[in-house]
Amino acid sequence: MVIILAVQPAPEETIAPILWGLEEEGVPAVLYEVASGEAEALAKEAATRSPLNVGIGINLDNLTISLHHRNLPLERPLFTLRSTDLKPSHLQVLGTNAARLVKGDPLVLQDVHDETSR
Amino acid sequence: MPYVAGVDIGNNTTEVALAELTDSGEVRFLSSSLVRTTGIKGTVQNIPGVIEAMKRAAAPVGIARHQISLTLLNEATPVIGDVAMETITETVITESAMIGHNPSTPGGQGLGVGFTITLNELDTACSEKSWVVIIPGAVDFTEAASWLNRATSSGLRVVGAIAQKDDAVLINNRLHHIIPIVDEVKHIDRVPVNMQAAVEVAGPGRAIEKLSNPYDLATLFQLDPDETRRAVPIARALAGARSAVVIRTPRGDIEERRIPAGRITLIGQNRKVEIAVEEGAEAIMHSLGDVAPLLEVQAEVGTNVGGMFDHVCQVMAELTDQPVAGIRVQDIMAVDTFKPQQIQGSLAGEYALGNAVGLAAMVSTHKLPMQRLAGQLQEEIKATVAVGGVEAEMAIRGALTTPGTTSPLAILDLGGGSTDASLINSSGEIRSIHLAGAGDMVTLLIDTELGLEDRELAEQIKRYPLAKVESLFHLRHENGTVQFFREPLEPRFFGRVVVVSENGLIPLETREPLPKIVGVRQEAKRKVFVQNSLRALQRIAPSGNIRLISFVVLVGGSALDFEIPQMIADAFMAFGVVTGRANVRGVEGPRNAVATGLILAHLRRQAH
Repeated sequence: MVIILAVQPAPEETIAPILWGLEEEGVPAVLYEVASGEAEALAKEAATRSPLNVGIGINLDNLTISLHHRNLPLERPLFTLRSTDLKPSHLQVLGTNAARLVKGDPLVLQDVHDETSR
Repeated sequence: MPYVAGVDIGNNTTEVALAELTDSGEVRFLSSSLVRTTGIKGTVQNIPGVIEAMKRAAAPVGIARHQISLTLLNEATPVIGDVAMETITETVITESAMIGHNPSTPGGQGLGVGFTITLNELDTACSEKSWVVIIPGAVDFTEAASWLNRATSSGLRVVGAIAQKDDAVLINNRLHHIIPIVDEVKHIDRVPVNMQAAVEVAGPGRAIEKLSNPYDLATLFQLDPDETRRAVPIARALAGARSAVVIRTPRGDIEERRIPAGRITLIGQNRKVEIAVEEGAEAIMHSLGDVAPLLEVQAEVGTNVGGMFDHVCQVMAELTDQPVAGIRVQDIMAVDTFKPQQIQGSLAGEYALGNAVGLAAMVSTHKLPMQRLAGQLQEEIKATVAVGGVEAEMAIRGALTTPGTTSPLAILDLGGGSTDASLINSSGEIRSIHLAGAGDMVTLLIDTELGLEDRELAEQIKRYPLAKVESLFHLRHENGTVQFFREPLEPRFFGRVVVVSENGLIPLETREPLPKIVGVRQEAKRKVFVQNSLRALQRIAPSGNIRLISFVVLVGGSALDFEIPQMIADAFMAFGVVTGRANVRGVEGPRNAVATGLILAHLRRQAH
């Protein structure tokens, strides 16, 4: 499953859309709450622990959510959502993309995503 | 020692061959160059390109441009070609009789047959009938799920659902009883209410079995034999889909309608034939054979083809300073193809393949006023410029410098707007011919069949092989080779089929799998170039017998393509002909034939 690490408290209305995106694509995910951590580092740790090699890190104090992969360098997550990006539709797309990353399917791309440039 | 330059001004490229002539009448080739042709071939706008090409040829030899004592120009035979696509059928769904867009994540599994009803009406539904519930996008999936659960708990038989948003899985996961749910139905408001409907969703990796079988449709909807026959197009349209919906409306149907596409008139020396474009390419090409030798082709005014004919004649008229009325289209080529089109009356934006006919037309006239160009060039470079000889002849002479060749030799010039062939027999006589249908036609076919609406992208797909990006760090080329990257690939490439162009990867939007796109590309090349190569050689071969030609060399832009030369060689194998890309002077490949030939012809003239 995809692992999601969220700095507590992680409100339902933020977590739920991400989970729905994954659910609709049929990829299982598990959420763990942690005490602290930067979103990118948490995402990287989650990806490393996930048997599907994909992880999401959430730190709402910093208004940051990151999507990472086991094989990506720490400082280059696949996507990062910040502050104004944190709308339910964008959150759901992040979940969809996490699932598609696992499946190898083309990703949903929106301009608002802060794609770490390559 | 005099330096001589041969200059070939083509439609796309201007090529130069530079040589020095010894006192003993021998020639030593020194260098060559290639630049984009400036302006339209045969006009004084070509001069900047010619001068640039001459400069680039002179530089590596260490001589200045003005040291070139003689410049020979080709006597260009202007050939203008163009292409157009006519769609001849379209698919129409009447009375919203079916939904077959095959969304990627349908919900549940199984078959449900009942009457359609909107979610709001569900509370007042009767419990004797079965229901297929219509769920508009305004309703949240949690709400929809609990509504459906309430309904089933109160005794209603809910057997299936049709949802507007992409949330069939989300809804189904929250239901007490699994039902088949088809989602992503854009025009949910058009789904007929209170009609009998069947919803079927197959398991992962599988396809529906009932709604794609006319007899199962007959069973489910109690159809009589006539109605069953009418249901066949629907069943066929749904074959292979993972999910589908069929709605029994009074006269609902899916049908393919013919689109009138105009007529063309083929005028031969002895016969004249008028044929409707919608009869298809095979019929058109067959008629073309019937009226041979062909003198002229005319098209109906106001059609796509008619517009294309006008355009081609207009360009030629301007180029050669002749009245448009005097210009005739002398050859056409028709190819059957498919064009994905939105189905009229579709509920979910479905596409169907319509039949289409691709047409290429060609106009050629005898001579271009090259003298004018030569004169002006001479003034500008202050050196002697002469028009060196007929293009076809120069091309053959240049091609004969390919190691391993001898006459009888034919060259096939695979260009953008036309396919040209010339043949030299053992007595040195030369015949040549121009045919409509070449690189531009291939691009048009690829553009049409993949529904790209992007000619440039189609051009890239034509020229370069494809690959599938399988992970963040590797892709698999179409030939199976896997390529790894040190840096992760950009998200926009992930999971996509990409064109591996020389300027980087180009992601494709299409949902088609890679082998399908490769197939489209290869078929387009075969349909145009293999067919036209055979057509051309049959016309110029002695007694129409290709076997009597021993060697065929390929020149021109499309001769550089990574698969076309092999396809043509395969087609000619049956005739025992040696076919391959030219290798002018053993170093130039399929380039520089005319430029080289100009110098060789000049040498021959000097010797006499």
